[in-house]
Amino acid sequence: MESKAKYYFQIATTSGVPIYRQIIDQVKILIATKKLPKGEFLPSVRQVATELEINPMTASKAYSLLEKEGVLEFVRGQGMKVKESDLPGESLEQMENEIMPLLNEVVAKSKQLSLRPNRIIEMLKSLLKEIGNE
Amino acid sequence: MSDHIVEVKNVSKSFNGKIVLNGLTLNVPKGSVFGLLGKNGSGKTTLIKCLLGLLKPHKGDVVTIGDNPLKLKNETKEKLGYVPQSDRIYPWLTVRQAINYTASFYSDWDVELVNKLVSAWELKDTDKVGLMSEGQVQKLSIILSLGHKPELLVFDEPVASLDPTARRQFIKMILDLVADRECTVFFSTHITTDLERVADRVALLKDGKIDFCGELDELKDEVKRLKVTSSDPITGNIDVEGVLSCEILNNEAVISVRGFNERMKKELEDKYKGEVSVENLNLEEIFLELNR
Amino acid sequence: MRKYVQILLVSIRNPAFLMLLLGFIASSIISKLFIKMRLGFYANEMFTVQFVFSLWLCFMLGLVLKRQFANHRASILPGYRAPHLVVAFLVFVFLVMVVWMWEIGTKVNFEISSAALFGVHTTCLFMAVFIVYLGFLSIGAVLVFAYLICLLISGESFAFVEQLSNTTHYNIYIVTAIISLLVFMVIRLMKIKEDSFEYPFLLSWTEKALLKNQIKASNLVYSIFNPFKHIFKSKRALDVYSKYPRAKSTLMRSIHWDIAEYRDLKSAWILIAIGTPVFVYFLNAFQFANEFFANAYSNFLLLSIAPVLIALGANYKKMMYWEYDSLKPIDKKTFILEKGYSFFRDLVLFWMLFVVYFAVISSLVLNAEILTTVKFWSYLFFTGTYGYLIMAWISYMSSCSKAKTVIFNGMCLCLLTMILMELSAFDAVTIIVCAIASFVAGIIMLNITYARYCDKELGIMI
Repeated sequence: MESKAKYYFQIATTSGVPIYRQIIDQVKILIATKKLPKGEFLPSVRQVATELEINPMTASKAYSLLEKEGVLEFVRGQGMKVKESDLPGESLEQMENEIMPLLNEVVAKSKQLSLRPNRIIEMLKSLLKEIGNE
Repeated sequence: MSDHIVEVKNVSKSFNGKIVLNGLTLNVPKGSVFGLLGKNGSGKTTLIKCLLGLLKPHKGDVVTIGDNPLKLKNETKEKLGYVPQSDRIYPWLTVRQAINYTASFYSDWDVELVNKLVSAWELKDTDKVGLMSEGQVQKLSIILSLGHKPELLVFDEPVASLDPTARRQFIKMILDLVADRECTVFFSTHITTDLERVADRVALLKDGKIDFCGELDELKDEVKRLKVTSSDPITGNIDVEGVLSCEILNNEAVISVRGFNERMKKELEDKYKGEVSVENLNLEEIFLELNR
Repeated sequence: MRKYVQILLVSIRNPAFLMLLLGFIASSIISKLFIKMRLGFYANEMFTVQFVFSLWLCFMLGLVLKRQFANHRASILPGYRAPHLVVAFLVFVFLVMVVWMWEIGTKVNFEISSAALFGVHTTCLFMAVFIVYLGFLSIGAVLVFAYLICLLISGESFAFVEQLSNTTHYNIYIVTAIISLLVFMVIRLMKIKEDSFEYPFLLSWTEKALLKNQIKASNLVYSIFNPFKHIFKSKRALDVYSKYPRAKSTLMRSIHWDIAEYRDLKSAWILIAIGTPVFVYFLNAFQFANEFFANAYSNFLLLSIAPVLIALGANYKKMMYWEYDSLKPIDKKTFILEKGYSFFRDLVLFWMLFVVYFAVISSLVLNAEILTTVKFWSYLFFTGTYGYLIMAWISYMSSCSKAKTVIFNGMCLCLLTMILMELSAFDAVTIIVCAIASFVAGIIMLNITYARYCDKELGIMI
C-alpha cells in the first residue's frame, strides 16, 4: 500500500486546532475539491495513525464524527468510503451556516490587513472559477 | 470502576513539611495514552511514585490494576512496566546481559520486540552500560520496561535525554503498542509537542491538585486567546468568567480565557461594541496560560 | 531457576567481585597443595589468606546488595527480593563450604579449632550486614572507615584467627547478636521502600538523591563531632574567602580551599586540649587499649595508612568540585599544584595527629623507654614517608581508567604493605633506608601521576 494517508492529509500537531478537527476539515475540503471522489475509500484508521504518527484514537474519532455527519459511510470488511448520495437532510441554509464563520474570518482578516473589499471579491471569484473547472 | 486502570482518590503527600500532593484525585481509563503535565517541582514524579507504590501517601487511596500499589501481587507486577526519570542499571553489565537479567523475572518475554528495538534504536549488545551516554541508557531502560508486554506502562519524563529522532521513534513505538493491544500508557513530560501527537487524555498538575483532566481536544476547545477590537477605548479589566490573563492597549485587548464558548464571544462583542477574533492555542501556550 | 543464575551472574560479572572470588578459590587450591607437600605452616597461612578474601567478598556482596535493594526494581519486578537475598546467602554458604572442605582435608595434619572457623564466618557475615545496613556507608568519607576496618582485620588476620583458635567455645552472645542483626536486615530488606527511613542512606542511585543524602549525613556527622561549632562561631566563609584566591603564591591560594569548606581550626584545638587527658585516661584504664597501643611497632597500618584514608575522606567533598574549579583562569599546572598542596597539608596534619596520639603519647604513657631509641623515631619517620608513598600510589591509581589496573595496583600495594609491616623487626638503619626509598618512590610516582593529569581530563577520577 502506498502511503495514501500522507497524500491526503497534512496535520500540524502544534496548531491550536485539534488534530481530529483538522482531519475532518481536510476530508471535507478534499471532497469539495473532488480530490476524494464519491465512493472512494479512505485510508484505514491504522494507516492514518501510523503514517502521520498520531494516536489512532484521534483518527478514529475524526472518522466516526464524519460518519455521524453523513459525510462518510462504513462498509464492513472494507473501511470508510465517501458517501455516494448528496448529503441528505442538509438544507441550503444549513450549508450556508457552515461556511459563514469562514467568511467572517476572511472579512476580519482583510480588515486587519487593510485589503479593499473589491480585491477580496476578485480573489474569491478566481478561486471559485478554479474549483468549478475541475 | 473496572474501566479505569489506575484510580487515585484524594491523595495527599508531603515532604519535610512541604505539601506536594494535596487531596489529588485522578482516574486513568484503560487503553488511553495519558499525559501528565506540570511545572518543575509540581509533584509529577511524586504522583507517579505513589501510583506505583514506591512512596506511601499520607492520606487517600490508590488502586493500580485493581491492586493496592503498596502490596502489589506478582501477577500485577507482570502487567506493569515503569521507566523512572534517570534509571541506574548496573554499570558493569552489557546491554544484552542487562536484558537477560530483567527478562528472567518475567514469565512472558517478547524476544522479537526487544531485539527489534535494540537494533532500531542503535544499541549494541556488547556495550557496557557504564560507558553509554544518558540517552542510550534511557533507551535501554525503556526497552527493559516493555519486554514483558505490560498492560500499564508508566514513564517519568521518558524522553528527557533523547534527541528529536529518538523521540520520534519513541512515539512511534508507543503508537504501535497502543494499536496492537490493550495497553495503557501514562507518562509525564514537558515536551508538549510529543503529547499533542500521541496523547488522547491530558492532566495538568498544579498546586498539588489536578487542574484539568480530560481529552486533549477538550482542553484545546476550552482555552482560547481572544482579541477584542472595540470602537471605544477599553477601560478597566475585562470581566469575563474564566479569564486567565488580560492585556489592554487603547481599543484593543488580548485576553486568554478558560471555558470558552460561542456565547462568551457574543457577550464580549455586545459589551464592547466591537469584534472578537478567536485564536486557537497549542498545548504549550495553553500550559503557559494555565500556569500564570 | 534462570532467575537465580542471572542474579548470581550480576555479582560475578562485577570485575572486583570476580577477582576476589578467583583469589579465594586460588588460595584454597594452593593451601591444599601446601598440605600435600606437608607444609602445614604455610597451609595455615593460606587459611588466613582465605579469610581475608572471604571478608572482602562479603564486603562486595554487601555493596552489591545495597544497589540491588535501593532500586525501584525491588518494588516493581515480580519475585525480586527473596531470590536476591537467597543468592547472596548461597554465595556466603559457598564460601563456608569451601572453607569447611578445606578444613576436612587438613584434619590430617593439624586442627583449626571450630571456634576459629565459626568466628571467621560470623565475622564475614557481620561485614556484609555492616555494609548493607550502615547507611552512612553510602557516603565516600565514611566508606573509608569501613575499608580501614577491613584492612585492619586483614592485616591482623593471623592474630585475629589465632585469638579465635585459643577460645574453646565461641562467645554465644556475639553470635546471637550477629545472627539477630542478620535476621533484622533480611526482614527490613524485604519491606524497604523509598519512604523507609534507611532508604536514602542505602546506596542511592540517582545522583541528585545521593548527593543530597551525602550532604545530609555528613552534616549530621559534622554536627555530632563538632559540638563547639556553636560556642566558637566560625568566621563566615565569605568574609575570609576574598583574601586568598588572588594571593601570589600557590601555597597561599591553596589555603582558600580550607576556608571555603567552612572549617574552623579553633574548635579543633579545643577538642585536642580536652581530648588528650581523656585519651590518656583511656589508655590506662582499659586493658584492651593497653595491649593495642603498648607496642607502637605493631600499629604500622594505623600510623601510615589511616591518615591517608582519613585525609581522603576529609577531602572527598572538595574533590567533587575539582572538575568545576578547573574552569578557573589559571593554567593546569598551577591548578593541580593548588589542589595538591591543600590535600598534602591535610595529610601531614592527620599524620602528625595520629603519630602524636597513637605513637608518642601512648608510648609515653605505656612504654616510655621506647622513646629514647633511635629505632623508634626512624620508625615514625618511616610511617610518614610510607604514608606519602601510599598517597602517591593512590593518586596514581585514581588516574587509571581501567578497573583491572586499579585492582592490580591495589593488590601490589597491599602486598608491599604486608611485607613492610615486618620491618619493625629490623634495625634503625634499614628502616631509615626504606623510609628514604619510599619517599623517593613517592616523589617519582607523584610526578608520573602529575604528568598523566596534565594530559588527561580531570573527569576521570575514582
